Amino acid sequence: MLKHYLKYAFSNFKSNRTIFAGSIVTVFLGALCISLLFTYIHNELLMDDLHKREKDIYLMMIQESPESQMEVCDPKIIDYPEVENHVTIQKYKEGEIKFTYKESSFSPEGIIADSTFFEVFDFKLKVGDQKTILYDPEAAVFTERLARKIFGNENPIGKLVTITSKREKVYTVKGIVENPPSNSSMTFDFILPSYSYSYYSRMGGKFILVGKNFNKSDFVQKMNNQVRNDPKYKKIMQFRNSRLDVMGLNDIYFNENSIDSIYIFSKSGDKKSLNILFLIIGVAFIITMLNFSNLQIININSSIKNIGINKISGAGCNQIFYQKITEIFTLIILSASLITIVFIAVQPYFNRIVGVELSPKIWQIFLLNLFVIILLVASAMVYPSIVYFRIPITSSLKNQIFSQNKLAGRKMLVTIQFALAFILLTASIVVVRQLDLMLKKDLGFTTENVIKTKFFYKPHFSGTHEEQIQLWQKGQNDYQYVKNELASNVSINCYSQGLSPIEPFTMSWKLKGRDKDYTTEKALTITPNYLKILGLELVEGRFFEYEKDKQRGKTIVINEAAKKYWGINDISQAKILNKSWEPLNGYEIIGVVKDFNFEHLSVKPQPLIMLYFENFEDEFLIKFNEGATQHGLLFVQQLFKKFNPGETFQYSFLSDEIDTLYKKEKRLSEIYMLFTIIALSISAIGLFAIALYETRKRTKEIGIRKVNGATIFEILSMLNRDFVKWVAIAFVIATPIAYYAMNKWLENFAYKTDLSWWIFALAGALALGIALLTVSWQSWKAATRNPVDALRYE
Amino acid sequence: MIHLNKIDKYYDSKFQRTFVLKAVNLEVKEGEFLSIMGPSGSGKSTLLNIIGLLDAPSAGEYSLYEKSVLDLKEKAKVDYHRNFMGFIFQAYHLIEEMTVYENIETPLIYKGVKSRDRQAMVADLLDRFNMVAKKDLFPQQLSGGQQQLVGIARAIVGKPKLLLADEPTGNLHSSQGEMIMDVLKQLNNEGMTIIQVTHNEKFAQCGKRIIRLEDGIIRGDQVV
Ligand SMILES: Nc1ncnc2c1ncn2[C@@H]1O[C@H](COP(=O)(O)OP(=O)(O)OP(=O)(O)O)[C@@H](O)[C@H]1O
Ligand SMILES: [Mg+2]
Repeated sequence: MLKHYLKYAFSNFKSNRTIFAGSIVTVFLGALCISLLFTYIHNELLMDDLHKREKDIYLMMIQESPESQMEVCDPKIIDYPEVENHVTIQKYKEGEIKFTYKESSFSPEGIIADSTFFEVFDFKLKVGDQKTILYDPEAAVFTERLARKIFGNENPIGKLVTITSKREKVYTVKGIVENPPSNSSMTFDFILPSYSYSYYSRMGGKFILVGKNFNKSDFVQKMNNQVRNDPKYKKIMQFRNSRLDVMGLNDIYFNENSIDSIYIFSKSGDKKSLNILFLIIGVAFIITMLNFSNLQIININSSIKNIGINKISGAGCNQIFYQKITEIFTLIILSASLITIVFIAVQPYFNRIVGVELSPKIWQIFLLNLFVIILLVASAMVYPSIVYFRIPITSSLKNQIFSQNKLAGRKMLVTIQFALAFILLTASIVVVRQLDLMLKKDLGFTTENVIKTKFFYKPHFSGTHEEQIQLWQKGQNDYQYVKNELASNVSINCYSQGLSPIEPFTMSWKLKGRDKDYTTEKALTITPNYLKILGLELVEGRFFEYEKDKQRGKTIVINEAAKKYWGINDISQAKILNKSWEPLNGYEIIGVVKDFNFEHLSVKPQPLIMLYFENFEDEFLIKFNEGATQHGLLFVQQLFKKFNPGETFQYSFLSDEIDTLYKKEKRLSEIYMLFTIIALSISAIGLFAIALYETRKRTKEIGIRKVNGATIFEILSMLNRDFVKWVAIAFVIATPIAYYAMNKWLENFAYKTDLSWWIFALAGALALGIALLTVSWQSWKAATRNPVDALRYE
Repeated sequence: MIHLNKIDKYYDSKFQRTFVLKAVNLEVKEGEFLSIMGPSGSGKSTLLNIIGLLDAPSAGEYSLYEKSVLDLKEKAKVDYHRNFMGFIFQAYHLIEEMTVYENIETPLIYKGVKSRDRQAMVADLLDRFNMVAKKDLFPQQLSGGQQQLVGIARAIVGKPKLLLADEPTGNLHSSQGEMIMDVLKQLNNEGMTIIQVTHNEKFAQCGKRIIRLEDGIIRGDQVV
């Protein structure tokens, strides 16, 4: 029996080739985009799920005042019964700690962790005992990829590596840990035991693993009470408004941007983008479903006679049903296999677009696709099935089931499809325009030909006092040498030191003599040339000058937004306090610069404080003369090699860094465009199939009209008029929805592109053009056919 | 075998009720060869469809072997189609994507006949109709008469007691039509009950009895 069903299914595919191909392509495109997006969303939602007790892991936080940002902290208060375990982690970014093996050196990212690290987190150790390995002060744990990078194919275990931060020390590789998976918000390439030395200077973050009877608010209350009353803890709560808090690991990923995690987490999620993706999945699902539904109705329409024949040959309802099911399942299995292959092929590109390393297993992909397709097909088949089983035999043999109003229903489906496609089309035009606006907007500073690089690492102190002084002296000499070289080179316009304008750090600031408490504001440490290199504009007072100001002096420059924020009228009268560095006397404001957009353009310029710091390990910003970038880069590289033999010279263009700020929007726009194209293709397939069958049905009519003297143009416009009408209706329905949705989306930006009428006109014209093109292809064939053939055909 | 009593068939439209069949009484005995004649639109096909359980009457009684077959469950109907009757149509109604062999085989598959038995039964019929050489061709590759032969073969492969034919020769040249009628006569001689609708007086005479329908009313019933 199954053989018969299969034979029947394939012969049906063969005789309805267009429908079959259309169905496969529809399901293929629809399910492919749904499952691709799904794997991404799934990964986002299951972030940090790899830790078995993810929900019991909390991160300790401190908030210095109700208005300041929460920061991670490392308080030493751990005698609560509900806390089962805890671990403190310090995270170092790429370029901060240097590993030297033989001649080569690397500066990967990694963490310094307590011995309990592997008890709290479930990163898998491939080599080494998770209970003891971080007790060993000499042990270094590498990820598989770092081990491969440093040692190639050699066995990494037992290798000696020199690690340089403030000091130098030799470690032995004793453990290998699996690369952190794509759903880990913490990334690292090495783990060093915090037992080994205390020369790592960064503040750490303390994670606690809590037991069953843990209640978050009670715990926070208890902790704060204890800290306030116990003189031992005075230091932690040195300010009257400070408050300790905890944050679930669960919540951190989507709130990462609102806390200061001191680099512990290298990824952060965005609920809004995720919601948009959900929406896209929904739209893709509906479009695909409608289209499949449509195609199946056409299919039934054309195979209806065979059903009748089978029925009079003695096929029962269930046999007709099995026949259809076999057909559908063949289609499902075929497309699921096809998608799995293509999925694997496009995964790397998709990963690049969304910026995540996803690598699901083949069977997972297959099952996911199978599931998506079955869901799609099942919901798409509801309407056709009802039609299918209701047809009486006598009329099925006469080949008439769909009366005119049912055909109108089918055209409704196409209209909805086109409306959705139109909304996507408008959305992608707006997103692309918004992105373009942000990338091209005058930020208030110039980044042309400016690179960011580093010449010196933090000095490490070892040896006797004399040796250290010598080392220091040498460092000062080298520093001076580099500065002289940079200043005198013809390719270099000017140079400055300090933080990249888009990477300010946050500290607590307040206006002296004001009630308003400390708030978290952004600050940059820079040198006097900063104004010139970035082309900033001074609106009041003066900028730092080498002659007048001392580095780490008590002077600051603020921006207009800061002046406005604190309501300062006369800057010479105002003093700004810094909670950690200058809580008493405060800083003198020497100048105000015009606001520039150092942050993402979704926000207007925020208050900014600039401080004069000059450290030789700080980053250098170097601006090359017009057209001298190549020469200049070569020169800088040689200079770098002179002091760092064997190390790779790393630099980045400031303009590229700004582009990466808009990675999210770029991603979104790419996804939008991709899925718009897919949605339009699917809709076009549906329209094509309908046009095909419509014109085929009207072949005789066309023949008769032509015999009676209708021109090709008249026939064409007669056939197209109907479709154009439906696309026009789609346009009318979709425009207000698209307008509303995009208006809403643009609210996320401080600077927004305008939603002018031509965007909608363009999207409408595009949709109409695609519709006309697909329909006309069929109409043209029908209209130009010799009427004699057409009439004989019936 | 067939007993129709006061069969009405009507369609209701907005303002009026149009009768297609009115108080049709008909008795058909086993082994009969009945021809139904009448002008176009007189309700011949409708009557045949009712007899074939493809259509339900609006009123009246219909029994097969003294058993009422109105209000049959879908399953029971399918059973009748599988085991009791076969259909032939003017438009042949073959499945175009299947070969001659597969077309004839289809009813047997639904009946659940084993593959080996199927082969034998289909081969028998192909032999009988001289179509062995054509068994792998598709319907479009055959002449009209040959297609109708395939249609008959498919209708009788399941050895039905009753064969219903709606204008089986309507699309054929007269020589091909005669061939088909010969086959039907032969089947009737072998004991099969046949009811055919035809417009052709000569072909109607091939049967044993003729009834004449006019506006849904039986106006004549004669034995040939
Ligand atoms: N669904 C329907 N609704 C209304 N009237 C119908 C319907 N189906 C059939 N009829 C009418 O029933 C009448 C009988 O139709 P039927 O097909 O039985 O005629 P016929 O005798 O077989 O004609 P022909 O010789 O042309 O095949 C026709 O007048 C037709 O218009
Ligand atoms: Mg008829």
